[in-house]
Amino acid sequence: MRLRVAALLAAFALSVWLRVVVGGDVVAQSLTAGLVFGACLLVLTVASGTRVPVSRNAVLAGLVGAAVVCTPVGLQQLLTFRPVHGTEGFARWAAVVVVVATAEEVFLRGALYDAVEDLAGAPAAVGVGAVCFALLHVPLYGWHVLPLDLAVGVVLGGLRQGTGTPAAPAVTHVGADLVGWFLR
Amino acid sequence: MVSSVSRRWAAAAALVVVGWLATPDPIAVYDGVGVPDEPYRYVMPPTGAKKTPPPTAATAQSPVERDLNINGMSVQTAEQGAQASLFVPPGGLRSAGTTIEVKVAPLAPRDEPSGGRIDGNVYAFTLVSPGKQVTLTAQAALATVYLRATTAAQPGPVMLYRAASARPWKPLKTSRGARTSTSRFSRVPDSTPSGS
Repeated sequence: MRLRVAALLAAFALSVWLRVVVGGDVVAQSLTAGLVFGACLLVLTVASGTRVPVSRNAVLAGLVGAAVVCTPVGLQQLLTFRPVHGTEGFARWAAVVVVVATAEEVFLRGALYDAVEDLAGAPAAVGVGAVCFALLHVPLYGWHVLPLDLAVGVVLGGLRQGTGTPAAPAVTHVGADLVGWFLR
Repeated sequence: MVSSVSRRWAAAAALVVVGWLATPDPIAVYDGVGVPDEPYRYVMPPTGAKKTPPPTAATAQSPVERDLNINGMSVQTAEQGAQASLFVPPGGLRSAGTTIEVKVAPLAPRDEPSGGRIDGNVYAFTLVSPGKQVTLTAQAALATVYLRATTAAQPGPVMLYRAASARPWKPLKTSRGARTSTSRFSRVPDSTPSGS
């Protein structure tokens, strides 16, 4: 079991490294690098035999989660009178974001969560997933994102624990990212 | 009686807010794929710059009641990754006219500031009320200007401002608006905050 967790973490680190190499100086904005990263995580998830049951309750919980994680930025948008972004270019970007965000969730809150939970229990699974989630964004955006992404990672892990499926955090993650297009 | 589910959601919201407050310059996208900017559009492209359509201008209007603009005015240029945008809150502008128009327009750089080079376009922000003068009110302190850098390189460019073409450039205190180059504050604006 310990070996399985170690192998998943090593493969995850390798996927992040590959993304950085493919993306180069513009890794944060590289759709190709994002897709390569997402493909790696999906392969790892499938190879792990992870199941992603989808239920109405999980989707509803995911939508509420999206509202929760979008609240701070929504309030900031209102308070600073920042204009909402338009839809030009949204469809292509959204298609990639849905794949990448879903891949991250089915791996972190699916394959990795299951492995760590079997080894050390659900709280550890939530924590390890949150740390990985925060660290994967550091090469893209810098160390300053750690507090927020760590907090959001815990919320996503809590959703996985509460609903029993990575489908709920996947809905939250995708929803928050898509809303993020307009609030920037 | 508050259910355990409600308590968990409240705890989740509190956690996100704490994370948000603890993070300098957070943005909405918690993951993954930043929105790719199109190449910067120059009025006067430097040697080696990618060929692009010309940069765009933008305008917005508001009726005036009791000498104040009654609507908030939001203008944003049309590039993917707008190169300039401005929001003026309701009541931020005063005029004896019937309408106020806000214009944002790109200009070719000229009159380089001492000790520096203008990187990209100069943006002129103009407030117009036909036949009348436009002045700022205290509410205008809530106005927001966003400008995009030509690249994501760090450290970013210094922002400068001048109230009219003949005036000297002055540094502006700004903050970075996003994790990536998208929406980041940059450029050297040339602002004409009132006009007729």
